[in-house]
Amino acid sequence: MLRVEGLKKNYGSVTALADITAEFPTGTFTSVVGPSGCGKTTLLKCLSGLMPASAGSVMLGNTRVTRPPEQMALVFQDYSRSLYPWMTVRQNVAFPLRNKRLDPKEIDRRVDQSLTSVGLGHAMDRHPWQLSGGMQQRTAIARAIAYQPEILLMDEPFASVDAQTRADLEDLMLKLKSELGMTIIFVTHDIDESVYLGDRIVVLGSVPTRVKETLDVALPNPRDQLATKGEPEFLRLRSYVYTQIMRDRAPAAL
Amino acid sequence: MNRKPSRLVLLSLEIGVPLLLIAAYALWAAPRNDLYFPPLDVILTRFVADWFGPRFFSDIVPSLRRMGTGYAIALVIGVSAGVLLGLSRRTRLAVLPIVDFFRALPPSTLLPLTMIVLGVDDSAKVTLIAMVCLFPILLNTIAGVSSIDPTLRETADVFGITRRNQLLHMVLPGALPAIFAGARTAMSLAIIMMVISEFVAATNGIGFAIWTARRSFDISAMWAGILVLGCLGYGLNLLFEALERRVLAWHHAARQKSE
Repeated sequence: MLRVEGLKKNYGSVTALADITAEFPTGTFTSVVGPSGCGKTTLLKCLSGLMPASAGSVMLGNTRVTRPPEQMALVFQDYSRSLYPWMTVRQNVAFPLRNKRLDPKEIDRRVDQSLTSVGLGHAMDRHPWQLSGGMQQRTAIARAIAYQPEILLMDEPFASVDAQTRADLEDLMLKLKSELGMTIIFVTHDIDESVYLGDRIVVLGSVPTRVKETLDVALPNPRDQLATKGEPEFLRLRSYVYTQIMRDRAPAAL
Repeated sequence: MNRKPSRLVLLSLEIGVPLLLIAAYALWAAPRNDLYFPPLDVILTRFVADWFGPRFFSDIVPSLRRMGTGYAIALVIGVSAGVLLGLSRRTRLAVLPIVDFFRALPPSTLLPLTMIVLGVDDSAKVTLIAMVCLFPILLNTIAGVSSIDPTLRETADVFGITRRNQLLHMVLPGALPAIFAGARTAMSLAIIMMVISEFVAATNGIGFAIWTARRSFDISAMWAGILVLGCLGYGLNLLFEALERRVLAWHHAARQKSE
């Protein structure tokens, strides 16, 4: 279980994260949603140990996270900048496996399997620039799952793809979640997406950021773009989260 | 309408224009009987007579050896120091002013220095070539390394990629386009410095041959030597381009795509 306690992050005199306390139980899909500019990326960087917190702690089980833990993988928003342009799709996915002291055959197997499961079995020997945005982000996802992390962090991974691709990728995440049983922490500013994907939702306020509320999503699985999004519970949660986020923004706008 | 010219047109321009210029020189120089601009056939005869024979080994090979050694030293030091400086901001701040000072000196100013300290033998020439070639390679490597996208570095950090693998598979390939740009500038500097160092204190080499021909007013031999240098530079550049096309295929293709 990943736990954040009293996490605070200052940039100079500006407080980005004021006080974040949250739990991410093993095997659950937690959406983290908040208004734009509320420090979601900062939070993920602190969670992953890429960035030191100013105060508070991130605990993975009983150990404090101070640098990226081996059990963790991260999918960045900007796929065009997180894939290595000189490597093929296959090499990109295999690259993080070098340190795991795996048999080369096992590496090949994992690479094939993860790329097939994201629907890129046919494009393994292409370079990232030969792929569409959606395919590039699929490559980044395949790289993360081939690594077989216990915890997968995703930073607005679908923010820069078109709507159709986005829906496809959301369903891909649901499929991977049910197949792999990882703990997934999915940061987004899209309220629909947070409800559609999450088992739980952590709602953040605006800067200086605190956790406003943690909600359980009582939607049945498997989910479906049309049926789930038509459920009364989906609509209720969606407008509830929306109101929470908007209410927080109102005083600033006046 | 913007039609792409065919390959044939491009090729004939590439080959035709130089040929036309050569023909123009031949027509212009032939009737003049000018001491300084001898007829084309005289230059070409000297070119073949002088350079397609024992002089290939006594002059071209020593020149190439000096140039190659100096260039290789510059490449090794420039890339390794450049990677080091590119990765560490602090070291960069400490060292760059000194680098900038030496870079500001015209390359030929170093000639008296290397002559006094190292004498007139090959090591002085190699040192001079290496010192001059070092700067473009060093500065481009620093720029290439420090401009690698932070997201690529963070990706490697998250996946626990070791320092060694980050260096070999992320830092070096990422900086390679910049390193190539520097190496290319250094290549033409290497030819220049090779010739200059052979003008001043040498007993063989292409530069020495040109200088000796000038001193004995053997103008057509001088032109033949210049022709050798031109061909050498052109050939090396072709070789370099071919290598770059192979090694940086991903870079050129990615850039073309984004345009």
